[in-house]
Amino acid sequence: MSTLIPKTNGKNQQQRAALRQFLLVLPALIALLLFFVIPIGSIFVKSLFDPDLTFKHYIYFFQNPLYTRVLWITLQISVLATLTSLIIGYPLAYVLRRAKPTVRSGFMMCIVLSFIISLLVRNYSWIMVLQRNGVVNMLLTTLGIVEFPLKMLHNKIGVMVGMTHIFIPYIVFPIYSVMTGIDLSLEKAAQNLGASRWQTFWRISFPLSLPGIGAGALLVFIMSIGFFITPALLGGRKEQMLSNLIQIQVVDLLNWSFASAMSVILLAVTLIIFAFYNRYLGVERLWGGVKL
Amino acid sequence: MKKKKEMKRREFIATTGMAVGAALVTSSIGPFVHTTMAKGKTLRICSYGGSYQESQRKAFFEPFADKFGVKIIETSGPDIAKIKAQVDNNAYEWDLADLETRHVARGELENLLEPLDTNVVDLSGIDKKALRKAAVGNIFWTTSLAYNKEALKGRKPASSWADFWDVKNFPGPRALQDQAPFNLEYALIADGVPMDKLYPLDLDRAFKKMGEIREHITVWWKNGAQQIQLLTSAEVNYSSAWNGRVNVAQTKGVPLEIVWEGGCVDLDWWCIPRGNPNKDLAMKFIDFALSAERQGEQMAKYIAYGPTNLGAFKYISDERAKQLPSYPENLKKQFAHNADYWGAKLAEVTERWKLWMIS
Repeated sequence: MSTLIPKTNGKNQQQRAALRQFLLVLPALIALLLFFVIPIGSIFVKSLFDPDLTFKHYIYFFQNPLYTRVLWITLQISVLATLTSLIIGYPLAYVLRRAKPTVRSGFMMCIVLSFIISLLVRNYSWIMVLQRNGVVNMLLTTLGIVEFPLKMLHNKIGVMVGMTHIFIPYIVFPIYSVMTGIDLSLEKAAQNLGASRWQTFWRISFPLSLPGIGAGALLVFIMSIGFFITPALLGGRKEQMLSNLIQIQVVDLLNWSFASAMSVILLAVTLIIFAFYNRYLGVERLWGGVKL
Repeated sequence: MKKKKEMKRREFIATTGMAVGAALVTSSIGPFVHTTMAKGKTLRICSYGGSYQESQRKAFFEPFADKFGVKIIETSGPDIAKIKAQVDNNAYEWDLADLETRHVARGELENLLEPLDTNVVDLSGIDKKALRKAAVGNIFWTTSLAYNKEALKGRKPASSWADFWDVKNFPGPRALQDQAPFNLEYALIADGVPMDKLYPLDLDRAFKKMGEIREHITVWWKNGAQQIQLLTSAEVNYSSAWNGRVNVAQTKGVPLEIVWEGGCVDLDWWCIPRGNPNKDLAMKFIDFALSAERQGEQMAKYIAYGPTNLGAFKYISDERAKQLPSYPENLKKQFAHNADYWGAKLAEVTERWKLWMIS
């Protein structure tokens, strides 16, 4: 390649390289501008003009008890889903890091496979498994473990099971990739110096894997804030998400300005959490840590 | 010559391959596109998909395409928000849409629909309930109480909304839809309000009555597939359900029954987005699809909804007619959904409903 480019002075070459890089990034920039910046900008404008400049939609949101309470429920469900994903995903990543390559690739295949299956299919599968006379309850009642079927669906348990299942890949991969960057001989050294396995984990492995936890948890939390199919299908009457109320405003009531204001509020909440993450964990760890 | 043909075949294979691929992709993420080929003009129609749109394809789209040499492009998933976007931007994706009443009422409120040209569309045989300012009814459909006979294990089934509310004599898990329309009407009927005096709804009374049943509703369903799944798998004994879906399940051998008493009869409507340049052809299609013969074929053969053209019953067998929502005996037992009441009240009552749900 270099033989094809005539030699010129260093500065000129540098400029060319910069131009080339810019051209390579240009399609992505244009796509971002067209499909991200402009739509979000227009939503923001729409939330403030109806048709004249007004803050009434924002005021209404915070005055009406429905919206603030549903926002609170949305945040609660998101935090819970992030925690359950961590509780299941972290040990999985930990074991995968130390597993034989064949076992590891088998597990990785399974995790990636769950990406491919459609969200709706996965939700309906959980309904089949968890419902009153579903697989789990039939097993438990015929074995005599429980007398009456357990209620595992159309409540918070159902939502958590469904959401955690969807989020597992998103939490396992960041943690796993951070863990692959940790030198396992550090653990051996700690044990050599007399640390117990527990101490080794808490004082060596766990702190070093924190960036992965942060990245995975942030990703899952931000995704779950906008979720609504899974809570709608697996949840009960109290598992109402803000995105569901936004949809009603858009589709049924044609109140697009209010829907825009609600979207902007949801975006603002996400950005605040992102800012906290950046302040305390450093946002560069998000992509610095993730080497997929 | 031969070579040309060969090319065509190859092209055909390539394009169908692409179309199948595209259909597979789009069917998983959104509306699907189905084209009924014919030369000449094009008509783009959006409807609700599934077995319903299939019945329209066989009874209306294909015969219309053949008779008038029109190419029909189908999409699925209509709502008034998408029509508003098309009208506001003067960029029409649909020439014609099949819409539910609440969307039509909202569309008329915001002047998004084209009034029908009665010189083209013959409305003389159409039931008066199916006529609106800017739309004409296309089917009657019912949302009513349904149950799984097997799940009741020989117990006497509930035969009214009062029975549905009576959890002592008619025990078992129940489901309702997570929305205010229909449910508040059912609550008032259960509380003894006569069906012709429901509107305007006594909201306080309705919510009070809903409070009696709230803890006994184990599932609040969100979409049409759920209601039948819940009943079929006996997850619930009783649920509100759409009669067309119940009928499809019945024909597959699932022991479901629908109670016409206290049902809410509603319509789907043909509408044209206002200002659509292709509206003349769309009007012509509406006239064609409203005919007694076309509706008769649709309901007799393909789907169990009610024809809005009263003449259509002469193409439908008596046995079949008894399963349809607008069969006179069935219609007498039901109330008509008041879309104009809901058009004006939906925003306010929906907020109250959702707040009631989470508290």
